[in-house]
Amino acid sequence: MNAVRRTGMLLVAALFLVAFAIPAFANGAKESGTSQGAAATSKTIFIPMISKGFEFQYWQTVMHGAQAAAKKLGVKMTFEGPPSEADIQQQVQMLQNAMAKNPSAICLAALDTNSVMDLLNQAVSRHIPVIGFDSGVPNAPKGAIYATAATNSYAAAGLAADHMFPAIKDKIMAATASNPVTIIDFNQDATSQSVTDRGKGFRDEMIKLIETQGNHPASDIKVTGNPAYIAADSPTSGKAVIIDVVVPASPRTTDATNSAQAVLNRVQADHILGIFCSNEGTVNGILAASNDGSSLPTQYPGLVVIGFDAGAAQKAAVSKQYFLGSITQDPYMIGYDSMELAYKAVKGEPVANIDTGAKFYNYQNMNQPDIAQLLYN
Amino acid sequence: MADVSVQKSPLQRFRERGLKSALAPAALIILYLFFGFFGLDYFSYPTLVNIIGASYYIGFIAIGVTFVIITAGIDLSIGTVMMAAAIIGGTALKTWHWPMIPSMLLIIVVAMAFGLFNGLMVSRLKMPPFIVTLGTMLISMGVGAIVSNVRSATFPIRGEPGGWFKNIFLYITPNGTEIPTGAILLLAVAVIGHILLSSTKLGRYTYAIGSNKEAARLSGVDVKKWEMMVYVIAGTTSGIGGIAYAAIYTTVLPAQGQGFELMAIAAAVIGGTSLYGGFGTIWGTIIGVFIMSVLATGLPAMNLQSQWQTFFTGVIVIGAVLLDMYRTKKTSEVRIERAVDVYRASMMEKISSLKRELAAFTSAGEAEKAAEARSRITAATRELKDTVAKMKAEERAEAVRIRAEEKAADQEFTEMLKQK
Repeated sequence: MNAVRRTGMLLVAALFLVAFAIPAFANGAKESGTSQGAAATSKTIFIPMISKGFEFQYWQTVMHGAQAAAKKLGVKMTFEGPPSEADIQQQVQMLQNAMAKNPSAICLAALDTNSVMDLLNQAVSRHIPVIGFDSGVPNAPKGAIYATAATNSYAAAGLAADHMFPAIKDKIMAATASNPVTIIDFNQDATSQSVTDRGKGFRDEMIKLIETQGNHPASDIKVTGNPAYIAADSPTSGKAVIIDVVVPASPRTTDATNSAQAVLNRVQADHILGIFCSNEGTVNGILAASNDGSSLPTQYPGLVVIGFDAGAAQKAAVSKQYFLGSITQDPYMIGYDSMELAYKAVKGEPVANIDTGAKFYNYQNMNQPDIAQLLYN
Repeated sequence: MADVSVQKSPLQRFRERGLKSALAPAALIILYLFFGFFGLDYFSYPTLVNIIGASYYIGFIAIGVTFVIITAGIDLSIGTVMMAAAIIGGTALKTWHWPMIPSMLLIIVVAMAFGLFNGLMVSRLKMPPFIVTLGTMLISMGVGAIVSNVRSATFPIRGEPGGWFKNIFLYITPNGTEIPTGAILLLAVAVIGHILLSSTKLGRYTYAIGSNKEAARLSGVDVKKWEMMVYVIAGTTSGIGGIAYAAIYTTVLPAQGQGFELMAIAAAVIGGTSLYGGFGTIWGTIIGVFIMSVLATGLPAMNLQSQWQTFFTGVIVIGAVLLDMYRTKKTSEVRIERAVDVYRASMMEKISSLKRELAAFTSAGEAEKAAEARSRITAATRELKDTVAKMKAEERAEAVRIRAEEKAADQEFTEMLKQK
């Protein structure tokens, strides 16, 4: 191919790339505009926020809360996250890049604390305050994390058990070793802190309720399934009430759906009374496996499903009563509080953990203003 | 030189050609039966619907990428382009308030645009397909997230305006029965793909480019045009796959799709498409797709923990590809006819003519001659067996002798070198 034609082709290719990139400039300008805020006369405080991913709508709401706080405080911020909650390596890279920009503080929701351990130690030696948010940075080195703004995931999932139990109490009480019943604890993975905390919180609260109000001692209960969720003190020898923890092959919707289908296929055979989905990932799996929830009341009457977080599909399922209800966090305040905590840490003020709380919503209360503002699309 | 017109025995012929094409369907049936016996409730109609539903998101892109792989190229971007197109379509529907059909058309157009970009880079700028499509994979992930403003897109569900598009892939009758109508669409796309590959210029040139691109070019084939076409085909099927994904899974998340392309390529390779180019069929790819979806639905049904599911998927993929390599090696092996083979072939010819005589005698009712023929056949078969065994033993002894001679010569040579 002669030189002129080759240059021509290169120009066409470049045009393509520019065409694809135009949306970036249009949106990019919009994004940074809101977070520039009022410029401080002294050095502008720069706080990057590294989240666990962009997959779920939840993180967008966290970002809006953080941006509102940044605007109010006059802080320059960025909000980043890897493409999915499984991309640990990419998050480490993002944190490294953020630290190279010499930030005033960092907000971090670590996918895996051990992977960022070196960077955390570096933050300690460089006196860069790190504020944890959402699942925070569990087991961080001493002094690295100044404070965390998060939901108490363990307690939030316990709330789900508190609402599921009354709906299935009679069947639990009637269960025997020859007629066992099953409760499914559906978690998207066995590694991230918030998901594992929720899985364990649901498990423990359900065990407590079964023992105290369900007329079954611990010797009748069995926790089975993914080994990461079976604690040393969990009952494993019972035969009447089985708590089965299911984890799909990967957090992807496709794998979560296949797992959900396998679970729904054995609702009859295993006498499954209820399913708790501990985040949007597993909720999407259950919805895809049940025609967006519509086959739950018709094909599996009596099955109680409780979800977590929100999103358009889940909200529709809750409002149509396919789900008994769902647990919502306060992602907006998580973002807002963590940015504010970071600002205070930079100023040298004392900071303490903030529990942003969780609430149960169903078709009856989801439109009330105090709940509706927590539910994102 | 002796006349070496050697006839292969029927068993040998089946071993080479029949086994090759029977391997993949046999694997599929074996897997299905395995999960049926060891899994929970696998032989049921709902599970069949689930298997078909789980086949769409790799099925369509696998059909498209078969074309690309046959040209000895590769397309790593099909998964992310599929998801990027889907999320752009969803954003058009939900945020820009486009009606349903234009949104669906947008999905196809965006995917085709990426395919065209791939095709141009590979065919005109002669860039390696691996690098180009790797770049497109990253670009499309980013573009999808950018256009959607990093928000997930929830497509309409049944009952909402626009929810009718779900019925293209899964139709639910009023009394609740699910009919996997998407299988019809997948079949239609497969048929079109097969016709394109087997009966059109595009197909013939695809195979030609894959077997020997230079020879094709020198024979007058417009390699640039046809090579670009296959990437556009891959892009188009990605678009259809995007609509299918939205119909089954409803919510599309940004920056997803990485990993789907490897499963589609694995499906194509399991089905007989060679990564070296020049070989492949659509029906083989379809079998590969269903092997992947049977695996994906069957492993969870066995109550295996997630780590074992991924482990076994990988093991079976490697096993299937090893089978493919063994199969390609066997058919393309240059067979050196040894004396044993020549002898065996001529004796088999003699025995089969004796058998024909026997059949003639028995039908004519001549018992004596039939008995005589039968005894001659037995004698001939015994002679064949003994002689073959003797010849094989001779060959082995010869081989041992030659190896000993070679070893002695080697030692001599080393001695010689030492003395130098």
